[in-house]
Amino acid sequence: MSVLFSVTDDRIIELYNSGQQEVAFNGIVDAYTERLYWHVRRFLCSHEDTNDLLQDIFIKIWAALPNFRGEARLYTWLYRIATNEVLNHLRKQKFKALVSLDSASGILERKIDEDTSFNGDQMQRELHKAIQRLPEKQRIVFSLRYFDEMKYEEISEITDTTVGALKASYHHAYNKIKDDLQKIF
Amino acid sequence: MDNKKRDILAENSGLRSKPYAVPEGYFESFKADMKHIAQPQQTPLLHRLVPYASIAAVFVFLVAAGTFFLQKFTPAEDFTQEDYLVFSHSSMNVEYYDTMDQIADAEIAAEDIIEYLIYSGITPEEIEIFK
Repeated sequence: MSVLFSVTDDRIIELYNSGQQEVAFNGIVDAYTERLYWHVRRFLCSHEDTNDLLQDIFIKIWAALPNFRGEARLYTWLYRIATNEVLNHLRKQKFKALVSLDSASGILERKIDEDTSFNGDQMQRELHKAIQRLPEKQRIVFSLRYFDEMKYEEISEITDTTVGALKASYHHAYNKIKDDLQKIF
Repeated sequence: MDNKKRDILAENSGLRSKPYAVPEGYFESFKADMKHIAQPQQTPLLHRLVPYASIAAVFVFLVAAGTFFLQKFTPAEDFTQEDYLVFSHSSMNVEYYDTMDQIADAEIAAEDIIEYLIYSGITPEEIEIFK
């Protein structure tokens, strides 16, 4: 997957380094809007929340682009910005839930149940609800590994966590979700 | 089949597909909107002068207000030290306590509490311990 992306990424970096910042940013928007949208939506569930956060993410990317030194790969750098924004948003939701004496995962599970744009089957619905019940870090690792099929080394760059710790987190998350689903189906 | 040996996540590759619908044309219009961010904006001269004019106006106001305040409240020569202390106690402290009452009476919005908690570095898990 990353090999396929890297051709475009190289071109984007080339454009940026040659002083065509706007063209490079437009390249990022073209290449990453859908990928980042789905990455964010898996955590936020609602389209409206995802749309708002995605706008913030691209504004952050545009603002942070001059700081991109090419030490990390472009796509892990972009996912890192998106993931940090998602985590901040989830933290905010968690505080909101605490203030209203509700549970953040409960709110997200209800969002999935009530979402009229959810067109998956019952097993997918239960899968996405089970993901919301995972601790933050396990949720991130599971999503990047299971859905985006990223390598542990890439997830490590995004989350700043060792490969060993990521493997353990994924293993726990995978088994928890598997058990949850197998109780129902 | 033995439930423990089953792996529902591996058996059902369809689980990886996207289960949400997205409004028609959403991605195209989102991309078009985002590309405006990167366009260098040509601001008219008048708009560029607004911040400088605002700073100048604030400066003039502060100088005028300061001059007025000094003229109005500088004690006269026959104003004794004791008079001055009574004056400062009666005017300044009453204002101070009034302000404190106003702060105590003011309602704090949930959004402000959340913003404060986030920037204070405390985690939701730490709060949950005290629930």
